[in-house]
Amino acid sequence: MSRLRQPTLLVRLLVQGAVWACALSMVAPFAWMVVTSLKGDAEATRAPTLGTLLPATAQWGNYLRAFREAELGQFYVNSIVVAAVTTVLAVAHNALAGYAFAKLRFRGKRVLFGVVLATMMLPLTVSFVFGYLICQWFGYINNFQALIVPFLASGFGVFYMRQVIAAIPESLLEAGRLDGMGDFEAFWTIVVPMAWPGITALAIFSFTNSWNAFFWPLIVVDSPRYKTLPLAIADLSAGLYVQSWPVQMAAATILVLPLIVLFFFAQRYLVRGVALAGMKEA
Amino acid sequence: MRVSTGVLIGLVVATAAVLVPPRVAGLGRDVVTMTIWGQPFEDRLFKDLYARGFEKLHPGVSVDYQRHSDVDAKYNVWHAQGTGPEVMRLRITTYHQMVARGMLEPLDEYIKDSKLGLTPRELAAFPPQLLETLRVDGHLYALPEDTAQFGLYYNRAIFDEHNRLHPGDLVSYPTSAWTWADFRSAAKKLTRPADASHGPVSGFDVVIWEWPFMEFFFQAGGELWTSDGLSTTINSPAAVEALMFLGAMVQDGSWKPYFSQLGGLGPPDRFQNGQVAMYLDGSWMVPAFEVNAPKLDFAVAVPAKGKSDRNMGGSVLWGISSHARRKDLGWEMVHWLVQEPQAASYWDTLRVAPPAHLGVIRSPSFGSTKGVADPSRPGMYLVPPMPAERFKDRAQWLVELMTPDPATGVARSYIPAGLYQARLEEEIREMFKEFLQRAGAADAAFARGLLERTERNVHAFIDRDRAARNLPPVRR
Repeated sequence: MSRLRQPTLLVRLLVQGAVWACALSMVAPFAWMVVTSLKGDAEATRAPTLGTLLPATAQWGNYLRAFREAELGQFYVNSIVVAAVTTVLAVAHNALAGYAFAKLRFRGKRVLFGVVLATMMLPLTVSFVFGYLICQWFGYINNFQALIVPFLASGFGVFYMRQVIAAIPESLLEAGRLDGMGDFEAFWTIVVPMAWPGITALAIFSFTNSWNAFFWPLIVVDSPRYKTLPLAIADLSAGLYVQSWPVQMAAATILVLPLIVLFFFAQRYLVRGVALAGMKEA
Repeated sequence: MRVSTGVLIGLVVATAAVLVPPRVAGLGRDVVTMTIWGQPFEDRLFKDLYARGFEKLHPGVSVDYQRHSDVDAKYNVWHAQGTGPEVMRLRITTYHQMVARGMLEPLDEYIKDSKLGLTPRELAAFPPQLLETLRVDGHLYALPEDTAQFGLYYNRAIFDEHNRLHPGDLVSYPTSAWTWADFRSAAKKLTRPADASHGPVSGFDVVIWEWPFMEFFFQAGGELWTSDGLSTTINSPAAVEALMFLGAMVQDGSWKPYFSQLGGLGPPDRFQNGQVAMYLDGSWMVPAFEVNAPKLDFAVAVPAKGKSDRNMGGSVLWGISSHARRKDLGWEMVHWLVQEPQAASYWDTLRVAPPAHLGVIRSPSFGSTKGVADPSRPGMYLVPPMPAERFKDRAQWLVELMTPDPATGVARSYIPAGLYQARLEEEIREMFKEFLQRAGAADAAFARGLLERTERNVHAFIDRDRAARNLPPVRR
């Protein structure tokens, strides 16, 4: 077997340079958002120079203005409730369905899984019309349920959890069954601990999708009582009128902050979860 | 009980709790749903003064106030669902389309009503041309709230500096008597490269969208539609003339078009940063510049005229959904909203555009405004007040545009509208951008090619739409 050659210094520098360039291009918009959120109204729209890149005096009051002007407090609570309930239930349902497709035997399994996969082929916007009609039929429109129920399970979630759970050795489940475990007990005591990185990764995906959702909440929610954060933030830039970029950026920072914190703490699971979904049982 | 059984029961119960349909509390008999778009601070007018004000006048009636960032999406969804608000704020661009789709309630019977209808004095207060534009087969489906105007903003400091440096080649501030030639000559003279003490200055700038093109198109004597509104006449010598005039400004360097997708960012920022001498935009930008550039010494004038002195404008309207449950209450509120005190409040607070009420525009109250104070910053304003001494610089031009010529009875303010206006404006936006991208070397043949394509695309859209509605094809 031939030994792998170590990359030359030049190659390593080029690779590192490319990685840093990619990282900077990702971070720059966020940095710009945070810096602008701390500027004054006039300062934010001044032609940028090196000297004016950072705020002369940090205007922390912009965050208070964003909270007061857009009444973000109520919408923050709404977003947390919707995202948390959706995440917990969606992960549970997707994991159970994934378990069934990966480890249980039942009639029509392949066809049913094909149908699940087929739902992933349709763009989400196509399903909005039917989703709306179904929600209307059930009386969910203009309620938190319209924001939660359509996302309690998804083609991607089922497929992803099936891939994660398929990597768990069958012999472990067999041993559990020999000990008298039922299907759900085996799922709870064997599958869940072993698939935890995958479950965490799916939870992050679900939470992020629910937290950032804009168009669906826009069409199903009428009352400010049920509005979520992205809708409230969009209001700050409605029309072509007096607009405060610092307040908009402060609101945007408030919006993404929970996601950044979530990512910071769960990134280890996310990477492992994604890797796990690609593994197959030996 | 095993832990796993408990988890399973918990999951089933939680899922069932989420799935059970909520008990819908029926809306009260006297609920008026009022829908607007706008920013949260605009609630100070629409919610605090209008919604709550109407409730005070009508004890027992409650106004369900809703503000949506994309109100058109809401109107479409509600229409498909067979519901709609009693009071809806809408743009004139989509008005005719909404009428054609049956989304708006005809107002004629309400207007004529001897008790609750409009008095002749109230009807006469609306700009007559605007009211005519809103008539569809003789019927009115909405009443106008405002009439936004396109104005020529100018930075006085740049003019003064030029005149100080070139005493033999003075440039006066723009006036309503300016022609295209005056405008172009001033833009050219005021353009200067960067030097040791100043950054570069462009003589002119504007955000690239459909309004600037239409402004110059109308001034060149153009018309957008045939009399039946089913064929566009955009492909015309007037359109070529407008494009070539603007192209020439790019060629002589007095305008450097800004092509970013976020066109609303660049040109107004350049103007407020003192990099642009003259800037064309709507009346809504006056308070925006006052907030973002409090030290900017600017004024607004009526834009220069060409063969025609028409000036581009827009309008926001109040209508009633054809699906509204309490249309009677909807009419009472719409009627109340267009009366002089409410129209005056619109100007007094938001100053986004002059109200569509000639009585307010002619009244002394139009000469100054209170603005909207910022509740979180004492002494600061979300919309600055306009003191009387600022009127001449910041609002006089609106009076000039909206006052009918005594000889003809026609005002300069012109608001285009039609069934396919929104689609035409989309096509104009693309055509205008494409022309300007090559304006440095563009000739009339290139302009004509783009206009032909615009005309073709709009007609194809109209034909498809008519075929889908089983209407006979248009003979052109």
